Amino acid sequence: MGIPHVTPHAEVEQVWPRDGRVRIVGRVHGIDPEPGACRLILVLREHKEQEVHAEAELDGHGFDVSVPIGDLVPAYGPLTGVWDAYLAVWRAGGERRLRVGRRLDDIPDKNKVMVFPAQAVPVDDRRVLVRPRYTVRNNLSVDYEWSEG
Amino acid sequence: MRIRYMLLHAYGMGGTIRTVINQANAMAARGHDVELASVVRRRDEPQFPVDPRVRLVPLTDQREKPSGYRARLAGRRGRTVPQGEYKSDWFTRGVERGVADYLAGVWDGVLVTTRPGLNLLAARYAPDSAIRVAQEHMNMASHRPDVRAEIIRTYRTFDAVVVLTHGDRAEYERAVPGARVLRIPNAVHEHDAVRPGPRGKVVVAAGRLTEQKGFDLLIPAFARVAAEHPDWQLRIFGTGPEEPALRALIEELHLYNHVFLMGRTERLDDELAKASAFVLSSRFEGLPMVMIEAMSHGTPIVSFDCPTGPADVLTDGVDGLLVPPGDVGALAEALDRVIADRGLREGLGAAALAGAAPYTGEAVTPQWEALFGELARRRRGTSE
Repeated sequence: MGIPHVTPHAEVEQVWPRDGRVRIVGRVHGIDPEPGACRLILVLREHKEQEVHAEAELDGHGFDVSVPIGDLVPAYGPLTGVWDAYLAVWRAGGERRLRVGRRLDDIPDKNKVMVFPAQAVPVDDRRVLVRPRYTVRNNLSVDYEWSEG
Repeated sequence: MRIRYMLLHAYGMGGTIRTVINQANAMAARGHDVELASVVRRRDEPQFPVDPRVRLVPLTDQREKPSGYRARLAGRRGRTVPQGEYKSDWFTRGVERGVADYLAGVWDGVLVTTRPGLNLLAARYAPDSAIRVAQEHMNMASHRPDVRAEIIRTYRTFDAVVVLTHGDRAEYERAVPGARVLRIPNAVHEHDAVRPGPRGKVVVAAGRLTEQKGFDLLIPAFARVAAEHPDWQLRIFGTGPEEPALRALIEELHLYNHVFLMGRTERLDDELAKASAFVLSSRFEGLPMVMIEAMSHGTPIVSFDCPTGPADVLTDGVDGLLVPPGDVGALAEALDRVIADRGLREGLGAAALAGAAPYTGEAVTPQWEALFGELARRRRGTSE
C-alpha cells in the first residue's frame, strides 16, 4: 500500500474560452506552492523561445488565470501551431513549472470528450482561430490556426 | 421445443438486437432448440454474445456488394413491407425473397418475428402449421400510417402479439380487434451485485444521439442545474447523427465544462453504477432498457413521462421522478431536487433497485416459456 509517486502538476477544473479570453481554473496538485507570485506560461511548441505569460491568482492550491486571445497570435512561426500550458509557482526560493492538465478524473480520451470552442482573433484581413484542447496525455494546450477571412 | 427468432440484423448494434439475442440465449440455456435467423448479414461477427447452442442463420449476405441479377433485386423495393417501415430501405426485393424462402421451411415449432417488417412478412409467408408470435418493440402511435394499416390488417392472424408495456397492450388491443396481445417486458442485461461505494457528482444519460432521445431538451435543462450546482456534470453516452448539433448547443450555452458527449462505452454498467442519477429525456420510447439497467444498479431516475414506458416502470416520487414530457423547466427542477437532497437520492435508489426486479431474466424468461407452452398445447388441442 502507499500513495504512488506522482509528478506535481496543475489540475484543470474548468476552461472558459469566451469573451476574448481563455480562462483556466484549477488546483495545484502534488506540491505546496508558496503564496504570492504565480503565472501561466504558454510555450510555443514549434519555437520554444516564444512564450506568453499571464499573472495568475493563487489561493492556497487553487489557481485562476486568463489570457487575452490576442496574445496567442505568435510573432512568427508556422500557419498552425500549439501553445503548451504550464503554471509557474514558487517553492523553496525557486520557480517550478508545472504542466497544466486534467489527470485526476475518470474520463479517458479527453481530447475527444472535453472539447472546447474556437475563438477568432481578427488580424488585418485574416483571422487566427485559437482553441484550447487536451492532448493525448490529457495535458492542456491551445491550438492556433491562421485562416482566411 | 423448437424456437426460431428472426431479427433484421443479428450482427448489428441496438436495443432490440441485444434483447432478442438475450432471449434466444436464455431459451437455449433452458434446453430448447433455438435458431436465430438474421435477415441480412453486414458484418462477420455478431456484436453481442450469442450462445453456441443457438444456431445463427444469415439469410442474405450483404458483406460484399452484389452484382448481376442479385444487384438488380437488391436495387428494387420489396412488395410486402410498406415504405413507412422505419427500416424499409433494408427490405429490398432480394431481402424479402430470402425471408420468404426461409419461412417456407418453417412448418413447425414457434416462430418469433421482432419488428413490423418481419411480422408482416411472417403473416404473409409463414405456414399456418408454425406457431407465430409477433414482437412489437414500439408503441402503435409511433408507426407511420401505412404500417399501422398493415398491422391492423394482419396482426390478428398471429397466435400472439407480444408488446413491452401495459400501455402498449391496451393500445394494440384497441387498434387490432381480435388480436391476442400480451405484455412481456424485455429483461435487463445481467450484472453482478450492486456496486458499493460513493457515487460521483455525475448525472448520466445514454442512447443514440437522435432527436427521439431528446438530448436537445436535456442540455438546456442541465444549463439551469449547472448554474445552481457548478460542481456537477452531465455525461451523455452514445453516438449518432445529432452529435454536431448537440456539440453546437453545448458551446452556445457555454456548457463545455459541465456537459460531455462521451461517445460509445463498453462499460456502461460501471458508468450507471457510479452515477448519482440517470436521466431519460426521450420524446418517445418503447421500453427504456437503459433506464431499467440504471435502476438495477440502484441509481435514482429522473424522466420525462413520455409515451410509453417510463410510467409503466416508475411510480413518481417512489422509485424516480416523472415530469411532463418536453417540459425543460420541470426536468431542471427535478434534477435540482435530486442533486440537492442526498436522502431523496438514497430513497429513490433503493426503491429503483426493487422496481427493476420484474425485469430480470429470472422474472422474464419463464413468462416466454409459459406462453410458448400454452400456445403449443392449444395447437395440439385443436388438431386432436
